[in-house]
Amino acid sequence: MATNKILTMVILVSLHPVFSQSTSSNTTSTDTLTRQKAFSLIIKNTLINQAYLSTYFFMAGNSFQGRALSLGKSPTEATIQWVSASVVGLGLSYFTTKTLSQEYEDILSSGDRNEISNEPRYYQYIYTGGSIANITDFKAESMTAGSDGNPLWIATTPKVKTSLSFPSLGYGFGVSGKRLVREFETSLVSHYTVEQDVSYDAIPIPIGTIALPDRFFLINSLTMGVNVNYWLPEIGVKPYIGLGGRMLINSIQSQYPGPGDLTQSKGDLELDSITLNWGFHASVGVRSTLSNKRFLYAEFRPLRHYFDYESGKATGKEKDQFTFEIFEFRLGMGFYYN
Amino acid sequence: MKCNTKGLYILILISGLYLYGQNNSIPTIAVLNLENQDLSIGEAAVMTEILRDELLKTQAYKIVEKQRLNEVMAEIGFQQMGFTSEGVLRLGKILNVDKIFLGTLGEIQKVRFLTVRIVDVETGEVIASATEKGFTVQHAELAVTRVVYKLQGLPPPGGISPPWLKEISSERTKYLIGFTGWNAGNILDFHAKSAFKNGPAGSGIPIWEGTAPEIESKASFPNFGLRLGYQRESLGADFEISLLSHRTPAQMVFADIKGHQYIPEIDNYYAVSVDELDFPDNFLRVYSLGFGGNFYFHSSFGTVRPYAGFGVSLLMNMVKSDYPGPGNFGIGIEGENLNSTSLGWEFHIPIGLQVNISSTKFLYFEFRIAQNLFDYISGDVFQEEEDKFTLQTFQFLIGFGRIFK
Repeated sequence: MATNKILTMVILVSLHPVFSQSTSSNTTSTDTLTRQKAFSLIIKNTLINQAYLSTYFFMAGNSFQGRALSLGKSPTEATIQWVSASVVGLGLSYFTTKTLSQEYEDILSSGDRNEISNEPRYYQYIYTGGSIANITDFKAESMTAGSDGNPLWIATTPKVKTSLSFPSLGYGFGVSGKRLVREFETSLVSHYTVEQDVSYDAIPIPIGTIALPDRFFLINSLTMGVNVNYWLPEIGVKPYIGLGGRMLINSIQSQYPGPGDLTQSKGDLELDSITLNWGFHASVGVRSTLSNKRFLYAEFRPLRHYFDYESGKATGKEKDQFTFEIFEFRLGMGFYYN
Repeated sequence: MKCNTKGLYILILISGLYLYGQNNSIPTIAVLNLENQDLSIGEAAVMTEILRDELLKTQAYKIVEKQRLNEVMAEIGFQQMGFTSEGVLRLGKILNVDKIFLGTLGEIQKVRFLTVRIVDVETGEVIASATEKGFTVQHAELAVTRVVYKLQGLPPPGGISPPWLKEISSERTKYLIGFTGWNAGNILDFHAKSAFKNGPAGSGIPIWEGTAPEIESKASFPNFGLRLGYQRESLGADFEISLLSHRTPAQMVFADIKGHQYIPEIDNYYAVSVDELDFPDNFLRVYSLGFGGNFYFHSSFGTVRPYAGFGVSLLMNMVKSDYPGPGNFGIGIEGENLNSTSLGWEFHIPIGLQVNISSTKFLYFEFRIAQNLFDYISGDVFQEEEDKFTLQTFQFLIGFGRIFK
């Protein structure tokens, strides 16, 4: 697992200067730049920065959190370390994008002055929010095969309760047209499982129960995805509905090997998984213009994030999968470039 | 041959005389500049030129040359006299014309009007007049043509509904409706089954399962909602946010629960069979926050606009109880109180009326048959269950709408 993490980081670090060079050389020619072309360049640079900085600090945060757990610090303290690193990464990524937006304005000021239209409008936004979330359809199956070739055991549980580690945070940039809005968004979502008795249905063993301690799982996701919103009629504020899909970098850490093994490790991190997955959402929100350059927005968003990872040790190794069902309420602010 | 040639000459002569006579009977007219009301002078001048051109095309009139008309008008000081009947008659007589065409091009509340009338110089009477309204600059030429046809007593091109009327009627109208209302309904097809499927009955079969065809429920508070949408000539579509809440009153519910209950203390099962449930008051409290769309057909009868359509909403459903869950309650298992949030769907059929009370406001009345689908997990630990039901409501909604232009 750790090898994967290092490999991903190395690839990202290696690719960053390559992309940076190729895109920065384009920005030197401003003779024929239109607003759209200039923004495309900014998008390329921003995507690379987001992918690089956000992922790097997200992974660094996971390492800090894992180390804290290994050193016997409380899960809360470990979570704080993860939050600190991830927020720094998100912040750096955001401010880099902001610097790039300044570059964009410079390009425009030296570009074609005949472009008088204000449409489409390019913008950047940040948000925070709360959510109600639960793990649903949890399924774990042994990675050891029985004599019939099937997994040694399969266990399912319909629901596991979770709570929010900290408010979700994110930022993105978008293009707002007359009908549609397209956005690229990066966000951090973090939850943990609360103390509870979880019963499971298993084959071939009958019903069983596990008493999960508080913060048995620390679940963090870095999400990068696309939103497409449709403007509804304006009524002082601008309402919209939308859909979106996202790639998830899911991290699950625990002091326990996994749901199938509740032997708590005192000096080690027993479960430290980072996997790629995906999610989707619907959204409904309103945007209120504060000034020609700024807007506020409020949004309700039901999301589904999918998790799929391996846990356990030796013959107790298992493959887990679940759906994270989230109802998110968010508040944000946006800044127009043009 | 000779005879035939003579006959031909006679025929030509007769035809020529006829045509000469015809030409002589074509009335001579003067077309005055259209009077401009709240529009640009240039626009009125262009429309006058189009009018002259269209009149010429009819070949029914001879038109006095514009320069000659202007000279005479200047000579008699027509501008000072204005468009008085005396002035018009004097002008007509000096020009020696049979008829004078005059009219007005104007705008009232963004609606263009073109009125043209024909004055007989001999009698001073208005012998014909015609009007077109609501046309746009793009349709100016067609509007003039239609006026000319009407003046001649001919059916105008485009019939009774010219293209600009079609465009106006197909323009989208934006609106916002705030509504509230009461509803009656019941919970139908309640289905509960254990989340555990590997018991005495076999692998993959829930250890217990139960159904209740109907559970009485009542609205906890009036429904509320907002609708925001567009309306065209006969179609409308809007986005809706709504809140609906129901609760179950105390009642005996016919149910059919069969299967086994797991007893963890002895790690074994015992058979259960329940056919009646004594629900206390407020056993279930359900809330649906919906985000969805309505699509409907409407037609207009004066100020009243009836409509009918269908709608779909994505629901954020909450189900609460002071008990773990209906199935758990039925077989007497204690546990944590039910407090579930899940996604669901709503399908509804709205039939209603919009009554205009001004150009921007209307009242809204709707009868709606709705089915809210609930699907959630309840129960606790060993007794977790999967519940499903349909909340069917008959809603009477009243609201206030605002049109945004």
